[in-house]
Amino acid sequence: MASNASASRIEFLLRNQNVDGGWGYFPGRQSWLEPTFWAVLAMTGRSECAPAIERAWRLLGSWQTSSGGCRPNTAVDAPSWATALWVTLQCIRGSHGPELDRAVEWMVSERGIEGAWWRRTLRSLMGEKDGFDAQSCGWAWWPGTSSWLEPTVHGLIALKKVAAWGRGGEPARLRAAEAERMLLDRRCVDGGWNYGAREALGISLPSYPETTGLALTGLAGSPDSRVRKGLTLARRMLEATRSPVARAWLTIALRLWGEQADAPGEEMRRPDIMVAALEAAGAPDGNYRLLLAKESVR
Amino acid sequence: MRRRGLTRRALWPAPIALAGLGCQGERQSRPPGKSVVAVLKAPSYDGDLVKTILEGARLCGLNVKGKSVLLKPNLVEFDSATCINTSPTVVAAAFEAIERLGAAEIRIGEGPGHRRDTLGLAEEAGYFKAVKNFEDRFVDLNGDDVEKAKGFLDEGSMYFARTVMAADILVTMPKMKTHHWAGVTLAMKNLFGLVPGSVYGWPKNPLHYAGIDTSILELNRMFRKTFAIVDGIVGMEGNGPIQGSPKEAGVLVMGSDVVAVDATCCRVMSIDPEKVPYLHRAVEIGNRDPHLIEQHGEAPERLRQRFNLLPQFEGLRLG
Repeated sequence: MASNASASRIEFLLRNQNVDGGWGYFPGRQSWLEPTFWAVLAMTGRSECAPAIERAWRLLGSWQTSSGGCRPNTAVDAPSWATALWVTLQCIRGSHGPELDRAVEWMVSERGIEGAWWRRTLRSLMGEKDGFDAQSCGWAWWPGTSSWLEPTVHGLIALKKVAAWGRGGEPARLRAAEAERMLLDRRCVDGGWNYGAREALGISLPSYPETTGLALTGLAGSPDSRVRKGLTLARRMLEATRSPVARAWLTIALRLWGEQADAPGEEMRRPDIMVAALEAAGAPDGNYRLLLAKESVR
Repeated sequence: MRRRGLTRRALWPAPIALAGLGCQGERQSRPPGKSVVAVLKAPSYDGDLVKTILEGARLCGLNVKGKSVLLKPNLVEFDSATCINTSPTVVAAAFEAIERLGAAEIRIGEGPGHRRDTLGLAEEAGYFKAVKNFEDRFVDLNGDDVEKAKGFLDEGSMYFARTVMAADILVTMPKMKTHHWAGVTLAMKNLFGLVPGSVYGWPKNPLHYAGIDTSILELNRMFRKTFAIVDGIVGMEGNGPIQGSPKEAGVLVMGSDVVAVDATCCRVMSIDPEKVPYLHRAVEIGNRDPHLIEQHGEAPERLRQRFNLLPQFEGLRLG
């Protein structure tokens, strides 16, 4: 039986599903892959949500392009980073068809442009210091640009799941390993994560609670001891931050690492689809475990 | 795979399909004659800022009667105690002033560049307290519906938040700040927040790859029906736009020609606008040079403040 906090959020999500089967970032807005992914994740396994999930599933499938990548919504015609979310959802459902393989191939072919040999050579010739290991690249928000933490976390989660299901082969496994190296390399001095690099113009950047929560979620299960400092920081951040987005991410991360975190209050502060879905997924009875490599509903 | 990022090219236009906020479809030239810029003293956030903004609107001939207006502040970080964000007091005053001037509809919209919790940012920055019914009036441009508009660089198009496209007038409301890549961030750079994170991410990295100066110019070439209210009561100097230090300038700078407004702000900040790369190139779309700007209120040189610059930007200093 769902807790009151989860139930109120699931009810909110059901009430605000768009006619096309997806969810917008806010009620009544265009459907996007990202909030639809989180809504589906939060509702997965709840029998009363099954019809809504099936409608969402049909919409998400329609967004895959001939390249294998997925559009982020109906209005945008280019494939995007959010393909990783669709791959994760396919793995959670145990749908391992050719659509998954094509999406994984697209993901493996995409990488932040800062790792391109010509770019690294150019920077080296100009005497510029990267401040990070440019040979370990993640994924960009938009093809042809640099890798950033958040799309890299989602790429890592997706490819770890793909690998756990024996799909994607060596390229997917290597790409996931590279993404993990990138995340570990870009830790800030306090052990947390900024949204991109750890420094700019030679000056250390601050870590943020939401990106620290995200990074720890992507790294869940990593045996690397450097992650422990981030967990300590995440606990402190959860006590300090009032941002619902940050709190939700930190809560999911801490739970995935086996730590306790308070459940969200019964009342939702704002009509925000992403926050509702993240809070429901991160509730004690939520589906946060489905983000782990080997977890699925099958 | 074909690169889908926004590639650099000479700034040639393409027909722009969307109406609303002045996506006007032909190559824009600078306004004829002189541009009016109001430089008004505002020593603190406790003064009657509504009156000051109404005076600036009058001096600049702003007409919003019956129009839909989008106020676009610069909302960057969770911190009400610093000078990072446009002051909520200025935004609230602008809202009231525009309302008194007879606008049919006023929205406030922003798509922050790197923090994802836009409403959380607005709350921490004090917007919920300062602006009545803020939540009903505010649109997170990063999570809004999007539409494609033609006319941005090579690939000819870019997605924008629908709220932006639907407005008749965009009021760009930046903080007066130095910027560690562009030199300064003022009314023109503030348009980066119109680009939706839901499509381009956090940050909106394609704008950087297209070139920050080029992107500033392209966005301002596309969105022409603008009015600027620059919050220079307390600005930021040094390593802006986030890690700099507060700098009291005690001024609001207003005008319809954003190039003239940014150039005037530079002069207040002891920066030579001709040396700021994007303003150096901006003469095609606005008036930068002093003889083409009709200054009302205070003369910029009378209110000049020496904003500290990062060493690599010392060359921008007004001679």
